[in-house]
Amino acid sequence: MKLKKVVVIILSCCFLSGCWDKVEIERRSFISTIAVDIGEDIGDEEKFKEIKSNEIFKEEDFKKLNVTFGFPDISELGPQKGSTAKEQLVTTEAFSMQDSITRLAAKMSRSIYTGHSKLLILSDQIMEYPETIREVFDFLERQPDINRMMLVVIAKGRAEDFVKFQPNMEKNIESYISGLMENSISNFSIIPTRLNDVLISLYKNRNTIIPTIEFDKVDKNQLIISGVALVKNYKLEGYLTPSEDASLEILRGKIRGGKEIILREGHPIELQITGIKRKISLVEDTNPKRLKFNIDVQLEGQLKGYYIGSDIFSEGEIEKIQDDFNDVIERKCEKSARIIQEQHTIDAIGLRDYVEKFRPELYKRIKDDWEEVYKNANIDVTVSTKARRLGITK
Amino acid sequence: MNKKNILSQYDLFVTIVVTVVGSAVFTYPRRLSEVIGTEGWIVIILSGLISLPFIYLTCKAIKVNEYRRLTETLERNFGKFLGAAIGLYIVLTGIFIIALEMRTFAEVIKMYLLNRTPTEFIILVMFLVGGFLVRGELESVIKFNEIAFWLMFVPILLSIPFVLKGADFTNILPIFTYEPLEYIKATRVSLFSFLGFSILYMLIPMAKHKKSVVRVTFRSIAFITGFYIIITLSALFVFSKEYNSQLLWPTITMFSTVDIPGTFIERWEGLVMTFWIIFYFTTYVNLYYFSSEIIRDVFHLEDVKVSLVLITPIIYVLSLYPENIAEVYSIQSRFIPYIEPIIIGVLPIALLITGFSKARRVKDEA
Repeated sequence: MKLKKVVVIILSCCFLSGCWDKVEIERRSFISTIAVDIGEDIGDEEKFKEIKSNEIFKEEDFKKLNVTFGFPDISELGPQKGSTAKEQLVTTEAFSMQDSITRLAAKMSRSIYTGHSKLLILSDQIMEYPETIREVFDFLERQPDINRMMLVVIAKGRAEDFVKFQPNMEKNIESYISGLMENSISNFSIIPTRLNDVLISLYKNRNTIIPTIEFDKVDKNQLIISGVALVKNYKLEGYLTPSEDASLEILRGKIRGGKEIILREGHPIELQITGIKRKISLVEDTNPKRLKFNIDVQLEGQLKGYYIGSDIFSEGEIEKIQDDFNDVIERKCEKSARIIQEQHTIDAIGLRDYVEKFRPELYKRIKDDWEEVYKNANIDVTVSTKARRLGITK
Repeated sequence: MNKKNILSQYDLFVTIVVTVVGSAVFTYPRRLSEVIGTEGWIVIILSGLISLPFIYLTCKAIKVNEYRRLTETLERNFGKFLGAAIGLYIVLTGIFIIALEMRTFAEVIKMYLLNRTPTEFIILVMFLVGGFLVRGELESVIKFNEIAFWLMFVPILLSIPFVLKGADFTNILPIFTYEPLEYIKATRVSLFSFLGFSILYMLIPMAKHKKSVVRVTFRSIAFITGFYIIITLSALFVFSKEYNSQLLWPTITMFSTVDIPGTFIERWEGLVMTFWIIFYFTTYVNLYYFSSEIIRDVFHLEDVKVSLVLITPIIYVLSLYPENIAEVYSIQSRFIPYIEPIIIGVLPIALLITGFSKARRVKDEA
């Protein structure tokens, strides 16, 4: 009797375990980089609209996207060999993202897993096609096993070339860029953008900011983070240089690093920003067509360079330096604000969010023509810088 | 059948909590964001407050009927036929809730974990596991609840701080921008997450300390409300109302965005799936047992094992009836606002009235 029970248990272990979904780990390939380029038939977007949804449609004839997948060569990984590996690449020409995954599967002997993807590179060209980019983002967010924390960058040029790029320091681009970005938290002003942030911000404001990468103009073997791209209504709207972006990030209250520089008697004085507090306030709201916002920024930092022979401890010296920094940063921020406000009309600072959250009554009145209101708004920035640390010499 | 007064206060508390808090907690933030934007937490408090008097009435109704078992009370108060019909109605409600949630459960498991395993098989395995537990009768179910309670709430509450890293806490604003009527409407939606109080009919007659029943039940409602508020607010902080209403299961997605520096633990979906399983399983097992007990008593069966055989096929068919997850949710929102309030709103009042008149008649005869 007891034996029978044991047999039943053993058999049920055999029969009831997950046979359907069994995948050996060495039969899996983990995609680490996804690079999306335009395909040759992307110009036919309008033509696709004419095709009725119940008509037969030969998707294999149209190459709308050109998607490159990079996955680490697992054989290079191991306890002695290190934790990054050279990437192998497969490029697929496909009609949609799902189609490209299917085509990838046809080219690979292993089962594909996107859950560990680390980097999404979108080419600047594909950002010109808002309809297609919406399809791409929808695919990504609909996937249950996509890594929502993967970094997103926009490549100036073909995204495929960037995946192929072999950096000097790392074995693949994915670890190079994520290294650059993570590093940037402390000493660079561009903030890593994750897929999750992009999706949320696209839903919330229909716009987002994504870092851009490009090859150095002089040395083609150098890859640099060249600034940020402004995306509005799923379409590439324009670019900001790193220093413009630094000011924008100050306005957004998000900066974690970055430096500012002033000249004093011909000598550079640098301040590394280590902390920020930002407060938006609406100082005048009588006329909705001429709102006046005040953005109050408090920065903390560490003085990096001064020059030997001067005494920073002398009375009022630090205050003077701080005042100079205030003026410089204020001007820079206002310039950035004007660029995004007047040239691009992208509410990247989050003013709409502010009005909606803190002035719901006013928001109800102006939400329908927010674009107009925003364009005419007056943004005033006040900065107060505190040099908290001065280094270890006087 | 003769086991009486076996539930301690703690047992009562955990059983109510784990039954009511089901996998609905994973959709709750979305439902609320859809109808009321940022102010879901107000609606949760409202729903909690609204359920208080009804729960109180239920407790009183059971008390007036001298803590008899549900089927006994029904038979005594409404006569044999009507009593059995009401009993069956309660069973059907339970089955309905179990079946639809079972389908959602299987779909999510299929999407995140077992891509190629047939839905039917997942459901079948759930029946095997649930059936095994229910065969152990009330004691084992209660014991399971006691353990499950800690497995459910400690890990999920511990992981909330990790989720909130980098979240925007101002997402809770603005508040009080809706018309009062809209809050009431939203409360109707919110009732989805307050299902399963019918289990009180089974639990209270078994309680050891009858005097403290009301207090313990209220405490469990307070716990449930608090827990819902925590979950809803953190989803709101992480995703903002616009994106929240876009996600089918914001709570699951929320945990998958955990990002600890140094990538020490990445991608918490696995963890969330265990939450998902256990949150559904406790609701399911308790209602499953409750339903089969009523069936046993109504048809005078010998054992819950027999009634299991009767209700399982119905749950199976019902859970496979909807074509997809969208249909599951549309069926749910079409029926649930009407069926559950009868059990928890109308039935106690009927029981109170008939119970009182019965009691008076007994007194008169004496």
